[in-house]
Amino acid sequence: MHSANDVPTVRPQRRLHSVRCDIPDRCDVRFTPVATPKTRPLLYTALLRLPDRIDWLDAPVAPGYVADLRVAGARAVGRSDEAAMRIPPGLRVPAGEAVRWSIAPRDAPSLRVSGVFRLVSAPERDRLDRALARLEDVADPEYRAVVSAIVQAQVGLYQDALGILDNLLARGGICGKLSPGPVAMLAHRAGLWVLRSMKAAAGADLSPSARKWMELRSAYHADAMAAVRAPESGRLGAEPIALSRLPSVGRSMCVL
Amino acid sequence: MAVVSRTRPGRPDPDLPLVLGHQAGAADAFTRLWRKYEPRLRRYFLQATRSDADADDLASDTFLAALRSMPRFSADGAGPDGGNAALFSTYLYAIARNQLSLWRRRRRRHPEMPLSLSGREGEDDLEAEVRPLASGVSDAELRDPSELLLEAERGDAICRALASLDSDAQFCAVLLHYVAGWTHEDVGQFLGARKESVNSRLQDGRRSLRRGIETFDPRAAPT
Repeated sequence: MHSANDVPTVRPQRRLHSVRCDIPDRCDVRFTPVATPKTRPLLYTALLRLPDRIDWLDAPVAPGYVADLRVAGARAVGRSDEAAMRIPPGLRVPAGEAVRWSIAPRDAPSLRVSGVFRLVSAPERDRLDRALARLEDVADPEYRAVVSAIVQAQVGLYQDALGILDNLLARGGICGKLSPGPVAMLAHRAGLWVLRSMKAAAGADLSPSARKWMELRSAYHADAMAAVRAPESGRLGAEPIALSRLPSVGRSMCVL
Repeated sequence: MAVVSRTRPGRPDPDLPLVLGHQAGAADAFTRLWRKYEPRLRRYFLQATRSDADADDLASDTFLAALRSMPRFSADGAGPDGGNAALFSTYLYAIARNQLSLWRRRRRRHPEMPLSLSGREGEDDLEAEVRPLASGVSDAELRDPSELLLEAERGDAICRALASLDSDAQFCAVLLHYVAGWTHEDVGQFLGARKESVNSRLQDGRRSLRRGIETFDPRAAPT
């Protein structure tokens, strides 16, 4: 059993272009890029649009980094003194094509971290837009958020889906119709579903770092669900305990 | 003050000691009742008004009215088995319903007030149509308040039961069908699953949901 500090956490986005991604010290996922304005690590996910740059956790003693992006036969290698890389404007990233990235400190190639992201294809985008439009009919904001996360994950936007669920958990009960505890349970359950879908879709593309991250995050959702379900605070009332057990913010991974 | 009575033979009102305590002058008795019912009332009003501010105001008004009329509340409706026919929760929700009626009347006189949280008209209708299982307490004004109280708890139970669906396939299909209101065909098309497969997932999911809801049903649990 790990503690709450072992799990990756993501601080909800506050402003469009000023976001942070927080990963606890003991998580093995380092040098993991995130895309502006998204806060999620790009270990295995689809994106709606290509980010201008990617940023990652600055290792304290790294003299610099080597970042490598490969897509559709093209390759971009960047050497950077800072924990960021601007995606070359000339790099063509066709929708649906996997962008394989890897990043390592210049003096420690063995610490390489890698992952995959891709842009959603036009049919996926169309499917997503139609599905999201239909969700406007769901009156209850908590349910709408959970179903929206499911729909996003179904087209591969795993990190966006997890972001929706994180925001829902951070807000607690927002509508008032449902108690925070049951909403948290549902959000954690949906989180587990998203992660399992991600794992199934990734198959062999899942890097060891992504696998580790996924295991930690899955354990976090499972533990949190169990905490809400726990009978210790009454049949229907584990809400305060569940919310207080959400992982605390670890150290800052990157600031975009 | 009209009291909607609700007979629960053999089940004494769990709030009666606090009610009697308040009537006898116990300082914190009413506060404890307030703590117990304020969140539920607020949810009830929020569902009906779609406004945080109005829900807060109505909950406060309800408790003020209850505080004023508490001396008149009595357990005279006690049944032969010692059970209390007029539950405090029923009494409180009768006041709440009156407050809601007054609010609606005021609102009709002032149509410039916001109609809903999202600003979309007809959302109440949509809710009842789109979410047959998880629609909760949409028809607030027309139903027995004590039933609404139970339904609010039932809404939580549905949410928990959804979260407790073990099968990922069921979980996804049930959410899209029962919560989002998609047809079997739409769910199948979106998930890339055959109609028979969706039907089977929903059938199994429905059974699991029912079991889950019964497990958490406040009517089945001791008070």
